[in-house]
Amino acid sequence: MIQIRELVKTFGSAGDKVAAVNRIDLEVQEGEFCVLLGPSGCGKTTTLRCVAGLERPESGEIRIGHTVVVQPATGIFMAPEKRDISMVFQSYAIWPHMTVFDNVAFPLKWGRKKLRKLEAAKKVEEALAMVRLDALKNRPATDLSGGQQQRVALARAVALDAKVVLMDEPLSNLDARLRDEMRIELKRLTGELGVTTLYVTHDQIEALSLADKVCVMNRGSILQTGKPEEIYKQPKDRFVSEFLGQMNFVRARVAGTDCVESELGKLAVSIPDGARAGEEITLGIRPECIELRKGCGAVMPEGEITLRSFLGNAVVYEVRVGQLVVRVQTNDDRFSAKEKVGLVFPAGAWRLFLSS
Amino acid sequence: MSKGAQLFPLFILFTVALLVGIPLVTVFFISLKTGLPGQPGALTLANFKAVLLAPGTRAILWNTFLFASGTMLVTLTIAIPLVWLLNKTDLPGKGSFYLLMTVSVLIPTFLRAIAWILLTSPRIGLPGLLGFEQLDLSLYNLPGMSFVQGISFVPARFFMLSAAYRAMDPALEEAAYTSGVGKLMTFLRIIVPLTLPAIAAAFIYYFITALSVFEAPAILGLPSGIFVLSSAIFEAVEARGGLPKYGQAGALGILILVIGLCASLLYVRIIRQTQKYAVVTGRGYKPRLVALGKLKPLALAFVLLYFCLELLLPFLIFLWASFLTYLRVPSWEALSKLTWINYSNIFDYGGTEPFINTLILISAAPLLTIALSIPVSWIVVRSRFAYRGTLDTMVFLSHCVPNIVLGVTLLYLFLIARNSIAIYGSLLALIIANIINSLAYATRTINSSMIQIHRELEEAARVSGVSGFITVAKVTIPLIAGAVFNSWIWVVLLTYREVTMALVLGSPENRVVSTVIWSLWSEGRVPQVSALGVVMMGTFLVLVLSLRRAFARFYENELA
Repeated sequence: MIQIRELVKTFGSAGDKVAAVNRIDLEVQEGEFCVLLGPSGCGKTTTLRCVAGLERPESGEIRIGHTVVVQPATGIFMAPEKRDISMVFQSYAIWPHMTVFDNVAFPLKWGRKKLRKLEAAKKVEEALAMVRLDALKNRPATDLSGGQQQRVALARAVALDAKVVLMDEPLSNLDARLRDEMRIELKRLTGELGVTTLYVTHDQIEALSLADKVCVMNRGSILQTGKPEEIYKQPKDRFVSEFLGQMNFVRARVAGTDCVESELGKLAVSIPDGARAGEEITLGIRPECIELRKGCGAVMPEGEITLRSFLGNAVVYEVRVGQLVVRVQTNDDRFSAKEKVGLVFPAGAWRLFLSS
Repeated sequence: MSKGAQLFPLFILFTVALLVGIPLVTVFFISLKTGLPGQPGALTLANFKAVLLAPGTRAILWNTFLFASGTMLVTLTIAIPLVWLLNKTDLPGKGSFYLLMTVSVLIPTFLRAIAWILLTSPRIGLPGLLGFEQLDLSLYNLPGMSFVQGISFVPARFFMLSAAYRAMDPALEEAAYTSGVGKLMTFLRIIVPLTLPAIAAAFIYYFITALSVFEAPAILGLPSGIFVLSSAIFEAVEARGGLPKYGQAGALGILILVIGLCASLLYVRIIRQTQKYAVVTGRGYKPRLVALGKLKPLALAFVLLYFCLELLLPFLIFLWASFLTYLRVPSWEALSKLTWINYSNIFDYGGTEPFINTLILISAAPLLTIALSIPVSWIVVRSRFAYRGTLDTMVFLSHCVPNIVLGVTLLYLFLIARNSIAIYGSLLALIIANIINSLAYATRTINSSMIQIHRELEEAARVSGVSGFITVAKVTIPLIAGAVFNSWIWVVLLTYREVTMALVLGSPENRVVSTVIWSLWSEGRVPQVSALGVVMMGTFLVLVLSLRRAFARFYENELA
């Protein structure tokens, strides 16, 4: 549905150009919810704006459906209003001089389709009902709370029935509780509509919970693309693993076909084919994969709890093992600070990073 | 972008270049020519030689410098305490004072100069009223010119400085207090460094303006032979009893332009610095008010005295003089001799034509200015048109050309073209001159309101399929409507009170109210001048008060 090929977009003057997007390839299938995830300045918003037609890339190609919307090599550039898209902005971009109803109706009356008044009104009612704002339709848009404005923006995007919905950090201006609610509502809404969505965020929870497909970006490139579970459980490199949740890193040296010498002592890890004995590697393990035991046995590394932080549904401990501080997340709240504990690292939980 | 979308900015660029670029180039051309417009002749530096070697030139430059500095001194001595008192203290009646300030900003300088001449005259004004007939309060000198010009700048400067003051985020100051820094250190290390660029920029801006104003130097300086650059230009072109010396006027014009441009470059550099500091612009601005305590009566007296000098006395003297048949000091006996005749005969001074001309002028010029400013602002602020920087610079440059120089330049151009296009001496000449003159102001105010419109509001319309033109018409313009309307009304008032260009480009056919007042004054017909002056100020008052009511929210900001 969306096809991006070798997209390049640079900013800055001739002297010092910065590639905001550097040869990106991406494909979003029909009905798929695709999230571009990355830190600020990684090029995710620029990519989205190129798809919208709000930025002109230097080279590459973007297709929406079967239409080439931009292809600098041949001079093709379709203006944003010609593209079969709708978009939700970070600032919501609710037109302050219109009512809630008019905000949703304006694109229907003056946009690509130019619906008749009655037809447009029906669409608006439907869209507003979908975001449960039908009662407020005659309010001036400026009288709404942040969450309500967000819903208007969603309704406006949905009402257009566009092939593709683009969302630029739509939840980032909401407070934490509202963001959780809206995230769940967004999931419900896009699921019901089955609309193709390209969604930009820097929030890993949004990415993991909403996406059918996540693309982790950094410095203008896509580092890894995959299902949320895949990316979380099998991150390709340290950057991806750190950006999606937390990870403990341990330096180690390959000691055999299924074990390594590490800062935590000898560990059982399955070594991939590429690694030779004696090679320096980095091991990573997520805090929730580690288990703690009372007392210490001879086989497991032991440490002392230096910090205990109670989160309600879980407890985070920081455990010092030799020079290393290991973070552990568990729902076992029996341990207390300064207690000596044993750590259990399930063999399958380790991720192994060859370089660095 | 489609072909049409490219052509439109080019058309606008071309129009602005025509309006602003040509006069600018012409100033240089005039300064290099001798003789009358259209006469053949080679380009020469003779005018510069004549001007620079003339015995009076050094005095003119020195006078200009003294006048500009004196004007600034008067303005800032009054304006700075007012800014502080009306923004940061618990002075009572601040709302009304703001309103009075808005009204004051609109009295033209030349009317104010005339009012002050009357006020200081023993025959009608204060010395006579207070019984000091011998007291010499003559204003026909540099201090007098500086005082009149200085005090008439106060209201406009007050609004500019207040805006700069409010632009500072109070949290920056409070952050210092809450981290234990004392008031004095906070003032010295936080407030001063943060506001210094703004203040420096304001100083330079005022200096440029003071360099080029014409009205006070003309009314007070010309009769006593005290010339500054602007009045010297006027004198060179007027040339009573001789041929107008356009070339020398051009050379003097270049002198003002060069000084002005250098100062403007400095201004632009400094203003960039201030923009870096403008972290938050007055959002949620709730100043903690300083309690004046025992000083309150003193402060109140200062503000009231100021409004007496700025507004009340000039208005009262005009009102008094407008009911007289000959000048006399106010007294009980004089009261019985008051007459309406100056008002009932008001259409006899110059016929009805000046009123009709004024009406046409203030309807046409501001409307055309705004119609041009909206696309210019949009191109500069929003579009990706390759020459938007050039466009912005050109508009800014038009701001550096003083009215007197612009007037003379246009006069020259219209004289050259008079055989092919009959603009010379017509009302159209004034309309064109006023469009050029107000373009920079209108564009700047519309720019600043357009910048505040979040880009995503326009983008949201575009990505939902609305064309560029409809987006501007249905989203952008409605959102800046308040600012556009305000800017329009302000340009109307500027055009209404404009006299410098109207004088230079004047002819029997295009007389307007301001030039009629001017010529009545030079004929010494004070009661008639006063009646027209009262009518003019009255119109201002009605306009401002009704608009203030309609657009109370925008007004303070827009005047800045």
